[in-house]
Amino acid sequence: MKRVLLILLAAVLVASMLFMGMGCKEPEIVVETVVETVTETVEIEAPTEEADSKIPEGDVTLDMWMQDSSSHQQWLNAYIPVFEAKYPNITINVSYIPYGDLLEKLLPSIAAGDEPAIMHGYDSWVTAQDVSGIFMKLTPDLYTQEELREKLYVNLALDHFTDENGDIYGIPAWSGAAGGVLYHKDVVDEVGIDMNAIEKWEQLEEAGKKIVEYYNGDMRAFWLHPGQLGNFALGHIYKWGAEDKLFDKESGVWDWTIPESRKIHEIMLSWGENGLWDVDAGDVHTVFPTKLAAFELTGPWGKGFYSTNYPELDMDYIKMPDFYETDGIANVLYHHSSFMLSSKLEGDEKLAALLYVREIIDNPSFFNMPLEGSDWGGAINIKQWVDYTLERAEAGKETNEKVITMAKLSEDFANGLIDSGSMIPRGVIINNLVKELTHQLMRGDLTLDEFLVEMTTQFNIQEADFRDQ
Amino acid sequence: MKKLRINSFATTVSIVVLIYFLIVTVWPFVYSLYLSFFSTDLITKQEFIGFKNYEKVFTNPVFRQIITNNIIYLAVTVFGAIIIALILAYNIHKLSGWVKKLFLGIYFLPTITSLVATAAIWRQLYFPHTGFLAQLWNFILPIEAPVFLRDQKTALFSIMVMFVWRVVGMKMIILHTALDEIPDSIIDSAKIDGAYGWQYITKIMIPHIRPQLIFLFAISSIGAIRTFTEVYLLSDPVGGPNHSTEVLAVKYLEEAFEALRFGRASVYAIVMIFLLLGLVYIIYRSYQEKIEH
Amino acid sequence: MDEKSKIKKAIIIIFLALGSIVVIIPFLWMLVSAFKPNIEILTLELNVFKTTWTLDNFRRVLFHDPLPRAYLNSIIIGVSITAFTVFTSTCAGYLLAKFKFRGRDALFMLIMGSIMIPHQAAVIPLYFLAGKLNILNTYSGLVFPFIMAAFHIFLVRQFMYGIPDEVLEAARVDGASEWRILFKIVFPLAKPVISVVGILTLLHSLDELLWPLVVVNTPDMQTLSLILARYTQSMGGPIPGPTAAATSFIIVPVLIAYMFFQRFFVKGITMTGLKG
Repeated sequence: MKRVLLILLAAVLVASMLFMGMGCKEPEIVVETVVETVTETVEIEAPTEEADSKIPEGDVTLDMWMQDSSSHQQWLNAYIPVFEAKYPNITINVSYIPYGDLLEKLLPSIAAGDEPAIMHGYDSWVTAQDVSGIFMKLTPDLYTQEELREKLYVNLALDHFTDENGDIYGIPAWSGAAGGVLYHKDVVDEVGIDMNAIEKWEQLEEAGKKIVEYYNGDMRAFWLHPGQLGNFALGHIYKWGAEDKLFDKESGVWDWTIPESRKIHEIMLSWGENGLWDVDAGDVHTVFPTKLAAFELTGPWGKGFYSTNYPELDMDYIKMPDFYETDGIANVLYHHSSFMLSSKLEGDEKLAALLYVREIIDNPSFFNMPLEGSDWGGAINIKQWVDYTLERAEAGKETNEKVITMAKLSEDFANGLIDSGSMIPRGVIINNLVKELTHQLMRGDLTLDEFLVEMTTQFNIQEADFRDQ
Repeated sequence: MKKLRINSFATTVSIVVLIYFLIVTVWPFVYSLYLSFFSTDLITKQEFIGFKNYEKVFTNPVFRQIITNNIIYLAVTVFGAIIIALILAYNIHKLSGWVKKLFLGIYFLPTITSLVATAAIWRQLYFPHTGFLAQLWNFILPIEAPVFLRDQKTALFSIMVMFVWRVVGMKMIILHTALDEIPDSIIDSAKIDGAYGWQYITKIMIPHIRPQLIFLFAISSIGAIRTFTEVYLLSDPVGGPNHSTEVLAVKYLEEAFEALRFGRASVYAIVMIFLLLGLVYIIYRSYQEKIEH
Repeated sequence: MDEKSKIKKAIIIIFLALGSIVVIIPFLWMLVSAFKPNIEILTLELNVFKTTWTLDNFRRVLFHDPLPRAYLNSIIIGVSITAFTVFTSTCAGYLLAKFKFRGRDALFMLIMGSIMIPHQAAVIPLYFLAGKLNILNTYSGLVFPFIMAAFHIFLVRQFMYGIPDEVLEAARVDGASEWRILFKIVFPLAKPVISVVGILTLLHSLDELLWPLVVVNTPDMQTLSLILARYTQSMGGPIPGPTAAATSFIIVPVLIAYMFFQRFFVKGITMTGLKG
């Protein structure tokens, strides 16, 4: 009897798996309509004659690893079929890997010789490394050094991929690190706040106070995504002109006890006192959806993330207001979604991989694809795309508001970037240093003085460690 | 002829086993030892720096915290789990029939579930404020619930609670069968001698299950020094708030895969190996004592 | 006397029952949350009637994520590892217990020494080896570091001490070859310890995280542990609904299987003679 039941159970299990469809199904993307809207522009941007000689002749299959965030997946799922249609002898096999796994796998796989032909990663992962030993050298095969620096906005990001001869080893394509304010529409409507009128942080703080008052402290004003928290104090100090006092690039010494640092942290402490910000309100992504906070400071990808997982929310997004007591913002802890190629490629495979990257840079229409109906957003690092889009907008040919916003955002973003010169990886600064210590400060575990000293000590330990190797 | 047959069997098996363990034991050890004297990221550079890695590790103020974490983990998950398991085994032992089987089954459930799956569940349960455990806490107790995994005072303890929850079942079953094996004659003569309750437990019961207790202590403490998966999965950020959940294995991961300092990572591996060596020696000695008993 | 012991029993049962509730709560949470949308899990909608029950979480983990495929992979890998481990442990345990030869104790020490090598340190050298052998991202690559287990060799060895030598001698006198003895006598006698080794190995194989992480590159080779780990780790943070659904899907079959095998396991532990 028992045996029969066991067999039955096994059969049910197998049947249910077959029934539910084994194997990985990609997220549903409507590719047909996308191809329609794109074919027109693809013809306009036909490959030049030079490029012709760089197309591989035989059949090529390339492996690719890409981060599995929904926005990246959407874009790539739309891009690859179009690329393969344009170059029918090239096939791309992409694997989507979560951020943490990708970070841990990428460099060891290169050491073992197991890396894929095309890699997606972040420029901040190789700040302390000598890239010439890791990835394929892209100049002059792809473009010359000057050409490439022209085509991509953010030369600072390119610097992470540049060796001492000026040769470039990776393409920083776009960045989700631009910050903004994600808010609950129903909440601001109820309280009576016009988000589009907010251009300065002082105004945002006011709005926050109104919300806290309205809800009697049941709802906070702010929640900061770690990336934005990491950048907040740094960005303000830079905007207030004190970057050299904060960090000496030559010697690698930090000093967080300077007056500007004290000032911004006093502002943050006042948020705590006014009930605007409670660092212990919840886990990273539980505070905003449960309306424990009205605003979340996060990248533009935040809206897409929440709408996928919590479709009941009614949200919108404004770009980051100008920092306190200054104009504009500063992005010190930026990082870029980047493409790198394997140094072990040769012949046709190498040509195909280079072609892939060239299309991303040269064919602006590729970037438009996922924006139709998706919530993805970010700053695009590719100048041609921004110029092309703004031209079309002016000529009335580009009417998609979101696309136009992104183009404008990209220019702002590129101009607001500052390289701190630190060799501490962005992830360590954000998670292990700023978030940890700031939370202790806000909780009252450290006084402001103790906090400033502790920040200095810890930053210096890490900086020394990373400079040493 | 017979000798030859026996010999060929013994030889074949020994050689295969030997080769395997050379590959998975000796080589990694030698390789780690070797790397520990270098500064390397395994791709672009490999620079001999002598004992510098060791110096950096031992002078790191966080090192003491890391070792402390492992020791605390050992103390709680070994002693805590075994004591709880013993109490449960003692009580279940007094029952019989389907009730006993039912309880044995229930307490054993957490052990047979995937560690990663239970870590995923407990991560959810531990959410601050809105999480189930926080809500339960606030419902029952007058003081505000802690933030569990994000508070340096409670992070490690929260992870240990989950781990003990998970391993108690297995230990309980082992101890329970051990209790079953105490001969009735001993129990009866104890009753006749008037040894009840506490006396019975300390003078008779525990000595009789000593082998199993030592066995459990041994494997649990080895596990505690090596602990990785559940600590890693429940730590936010990696290493926990203010290094409170940074155990040796996690530190290795950080140094090797995130900072790409394989040399320094290897030092942590060597530290683990030596701690385990010490532990194994202690266990070996207590087994020896037992034999002499 | 009867009354007293009855009361005692009742107290024990109540005590154990309360403990049982503690033990079961996480599983209950998991089962209930699997059918709720994310937002309601977060806001802890306890009123059963107000909840919107949904199958969306299951749809997501079964269609969107490669969970079914990972399931299959983990079964294949788990069964392979278990088969190998059972076989090698029995052979090696038998050898170490019943044969005297020079270097036997040294070999035993070497085997036990492997317990002292942390997984993490072994990952890198083994990863390079797998790369050279070209078995990365394959089943062989995922299985080979686990085909022998020191702990289980130890268990079997302990058990083997309990087998009388006479049986083996008698077979040898009859002219049986060593391998025949192994398969016809030793294996059947070792059933109790084999079931323990088998079950423990199978369960443990599901928990391996670090090795699959570096070895697996494509969606079709994912393991359950990798998929599950993502639910605690994804860059956006752990998402309740899919976590609950995926873990239910994994835990429930194991629970059901357990109900059948419980007896074997307990019996096995008893007879293994964990007496040191």
